[in-house]
Amino acid sequence: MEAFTTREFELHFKALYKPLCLFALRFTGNTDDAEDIVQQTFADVWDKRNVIETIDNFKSYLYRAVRNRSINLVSQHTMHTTTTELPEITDISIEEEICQAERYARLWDVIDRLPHERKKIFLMSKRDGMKYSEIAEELSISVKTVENQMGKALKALRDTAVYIYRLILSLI
Amino acid sequence: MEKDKKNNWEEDIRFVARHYKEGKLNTDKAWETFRIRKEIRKVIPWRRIVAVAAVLLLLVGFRSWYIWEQNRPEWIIISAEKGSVKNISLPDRSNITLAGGGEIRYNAKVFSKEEREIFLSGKAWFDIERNPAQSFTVNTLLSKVTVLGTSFELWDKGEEVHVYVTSGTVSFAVNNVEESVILTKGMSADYRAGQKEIDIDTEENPNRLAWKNGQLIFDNTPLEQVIKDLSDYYDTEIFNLSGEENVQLTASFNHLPIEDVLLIINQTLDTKLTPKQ
Repeated sequence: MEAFTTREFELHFKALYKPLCLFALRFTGNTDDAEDIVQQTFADVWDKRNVIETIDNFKSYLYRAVRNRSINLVSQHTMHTTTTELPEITDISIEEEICQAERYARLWDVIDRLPHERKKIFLMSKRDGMKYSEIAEELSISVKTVENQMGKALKALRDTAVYIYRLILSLI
Repeated sequence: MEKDKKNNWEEDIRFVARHYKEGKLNTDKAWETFRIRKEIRKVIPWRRIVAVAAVLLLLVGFRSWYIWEQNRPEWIIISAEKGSVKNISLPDRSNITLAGGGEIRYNAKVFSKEEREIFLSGKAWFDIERNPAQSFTVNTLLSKVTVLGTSFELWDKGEEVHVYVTSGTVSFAVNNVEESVILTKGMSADYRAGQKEIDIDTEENPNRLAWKNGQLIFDNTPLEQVIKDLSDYYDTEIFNLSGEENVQLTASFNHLPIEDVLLIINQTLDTKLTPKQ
């Protein structure tokens, strides 16, 4: 008897993949590494599906497994460098970390869905740290347009935050 | 607290934006990679497909049933027993007086809503509520009468049909004659199956509606016409056993049985009128 059906596993995978990657990303700082870790973690669970009876709280199990793998990877990389580069491991609980990872995942989705031009401007500002005037010059558009596009992008992101906040409220 | 939340949110955005790369963290792509690596066969969600199909089928079925139900006629059938006269009020406030043995029917679902159309067999007098927006049609086996708002008598005798207008204008059409005829007050029209045209009579006959009023009036009426009116009124054949023909009758009868009327006429005119036994 297996602990889950293939279909159940697929649904778990699809629901948890992105938050887990973003969770791992906090340690690795690299999306490719993060994706590898999450793939490996899921592969482990899949290989053990005939052995394990049931995984109580599948979700927190996966988060713990991903964290362990991430820390292992990071410590291998940093073996030869100073330990100060280790990411700051905060004292927040695993539940809070899950919430944070899920917030990240939603924000990632919103950015994914931004219209092409707006996404470009948003990333130039928030990822590359460019000033509005620099973006305007780079793209040969007015500062006003940049402000406008940024406003819309931030609103889309904020709406997601509000949505999550409401969802939590309604659950309580 | 409020400030903390805002800071958190901005930190979240900064973190996600800093690491965002187009096309990375694609859940569907990741699952495909995983599926192929672990040789997992694609799960076909049969249960969901069946469920969706069932729901669709149910919807289609319900829709068809609904359309069928909407279009299904709901016939109202009213008939008058032989020897009686029945007064009928229709939903459009038109009135019908139905002679004994007659029957009307109409589709209650559309009558007075989409159309005013009824079907008649036998004899009836119609007093149609005026409605210029919706004409009123009476169908018989052979003919079709269309009016806007008038009163008339229509008599479907199977092989022949008679119409008699008591007020207003009537359009009278029969199945095998292309052109319909327009009749006005006092006019009548007759048609017999197989005829090439409609016969129009402009002479008023006071006894046309005797079956309805119960009153027969004769004013120097030739015997032949008297026999015809009596036959119509009592719905039976009447024979003249004496040779007397060139006589005329002036009299009126009010709700009298056939025996009494024939006795009076026979005594007055010295005839031998007798009903078919």
